Amino acid sequence: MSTHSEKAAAFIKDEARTNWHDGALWHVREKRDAAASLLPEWELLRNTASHIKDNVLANLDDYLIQFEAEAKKNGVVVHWAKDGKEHNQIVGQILQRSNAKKVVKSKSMLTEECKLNDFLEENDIEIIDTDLGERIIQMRKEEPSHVVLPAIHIKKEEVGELFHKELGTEEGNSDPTYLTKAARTHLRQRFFEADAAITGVNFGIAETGGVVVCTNEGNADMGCHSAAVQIHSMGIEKLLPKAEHLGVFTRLLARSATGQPTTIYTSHFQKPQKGKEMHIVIVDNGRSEQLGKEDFRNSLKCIRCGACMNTCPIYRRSGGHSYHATIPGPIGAILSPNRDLKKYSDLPFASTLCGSCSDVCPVKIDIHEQLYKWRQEIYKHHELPKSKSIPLRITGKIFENPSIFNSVGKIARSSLKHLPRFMVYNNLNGWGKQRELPEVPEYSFKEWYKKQKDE
Amino acid sequence: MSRADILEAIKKNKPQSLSLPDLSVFQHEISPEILVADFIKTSTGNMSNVVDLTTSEVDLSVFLEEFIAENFPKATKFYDTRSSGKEIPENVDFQENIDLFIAEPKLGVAENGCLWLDEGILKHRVAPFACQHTLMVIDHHNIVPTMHQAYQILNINETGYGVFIAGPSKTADIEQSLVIGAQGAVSNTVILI
Repeated sequence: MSTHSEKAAAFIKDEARTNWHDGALWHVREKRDAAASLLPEWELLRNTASHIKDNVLANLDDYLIQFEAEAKKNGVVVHWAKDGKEHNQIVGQILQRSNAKKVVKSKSMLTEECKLNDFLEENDIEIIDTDLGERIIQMRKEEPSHVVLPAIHIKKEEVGELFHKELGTEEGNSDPTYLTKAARTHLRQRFFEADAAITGVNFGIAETGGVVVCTNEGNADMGCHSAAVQIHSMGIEKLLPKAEHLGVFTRLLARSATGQPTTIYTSHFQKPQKGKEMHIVIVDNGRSEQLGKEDFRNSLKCIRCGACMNTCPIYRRSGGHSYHATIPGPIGAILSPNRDLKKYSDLPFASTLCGSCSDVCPVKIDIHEQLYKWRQEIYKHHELPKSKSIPLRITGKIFENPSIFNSVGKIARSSLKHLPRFMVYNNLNGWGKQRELPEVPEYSFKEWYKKQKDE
Repeated sequence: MSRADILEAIKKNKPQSLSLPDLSVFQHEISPEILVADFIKTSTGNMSNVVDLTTSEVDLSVFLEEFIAENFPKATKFYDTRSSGKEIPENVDFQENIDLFIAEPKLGVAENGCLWLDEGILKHRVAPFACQHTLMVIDHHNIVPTMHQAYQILNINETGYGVFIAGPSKTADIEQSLVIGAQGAVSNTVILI
């Protein structure tokens, strides 16, 4: 398995594409800023959202029990899954029992996390992703590269080519309107044929036992209302205590995600349709364990808006796939090590620790601080790669001893100036890759300071 | 059993409880004129077509008839949920293209153009998604400033399903180019009375 930096290196080989990716995401970040600045109480909203989530995490077991009881009263079937495997089995059983062969899914990062599509396909169930971006990457047999903009890394010409092959659109036509219309026709047919529909959940309401799903395309509704069986997969942390708390979160979600004042559709599913089935699968998959880690539990407040990705200087230039995890970017880099410290030990280092992610987070997760804390955990568990652990050990020794520090500084200043290029710019010096090192100053700061004082 | 395991793990790991914050800080007193102006601005921003009849004295039913004839000249199949509309049959085949969906939402939200419809109004949940165009008639007295007021007024558990609709279906999934009419309705018209 290659690491983030290796995958990122492959991504940035195409400089024009890297710049395009960077610009597209920054544009979304700017839209978010414009939307946020229109609300004078924006910071109060963020604080309030964070406090509500504190309360939710502190009472999560009680809220889940209340949620389950209310949902059952509404005629909803509630299931519990400790991990992705159990989630898939439960979904598989529901589909089997209702003899469902064709399933439509609207975007859900949780089902991606559980690898539901692979599981269903192995069991001869056709599953169609219906969010346009997700459909595109499903046809390309890829995973999403962003939580809100799953196909942000793909050019329209590539979609044109893909749709020509898969949907029979005109060759060479890559007009987004034309392609979207083709997808609309293709997907409408799938909705009406579907036996069952699966969605993720943006918010579950303990007070009412219902779930809220937010989309711009209306695909979650097309699916759920057309099929005989609807299934909602929900992480345990998605709960809100009462309906009134939706006011806070629906105001923050779309503004943070894309700069829209709201998603076009905010759907509240409470009870099954007459003669049909509604299921909710409550999934843990490592979340209750994360809850026990004081330093990292705040990450469970995440509402998956993607704002931290759009603002991250590393994400924008390295692409979502370089994170080799379902949730990429800054938030993914603090969620993934919880699941597998060894496998994801590179991710907390895919950050400049500039803090921009924490600044835009609508629920005020201390993302960059958690990244820093994960780095220390990784060091403690000896999961640092040698390229980092050896230099860190050496610099540690140098910083411990002032006389060594002074002389090393002197040597570095003179050698960087006088050594031939190949001895400075080689594989041992990661900082010299793709960039020129800054010019070496005449004196160290200490020497300069002494000189100033003497004068 | 996973239910017991999950609840047990949460109980063991959860932090100390904190009280819920006060939401009354988000109350806004806004004049009706500004509410209407804000609502028109946000709805237009969401790509809805807005017709403001709040200050005109037309007969709504006459106006609507002319408006529909003029703006949806090819429409032959209607799904009209208004009290004055025709009775909606139990079985509607939404696979056949239904041209125009008409409804009177219970409530509108000025800050984002959201309009609330629930199952009681809709009859068939899929209607506003499967119909080609949607037309919403909303009384400007039913516009509230923000989502906070909306959730105070609504009882989301009153019916089995409720939805805020804020415009036509849209996407920007192909190279961030905004396309209207991605999957649900291809246009949304709001008549403000």
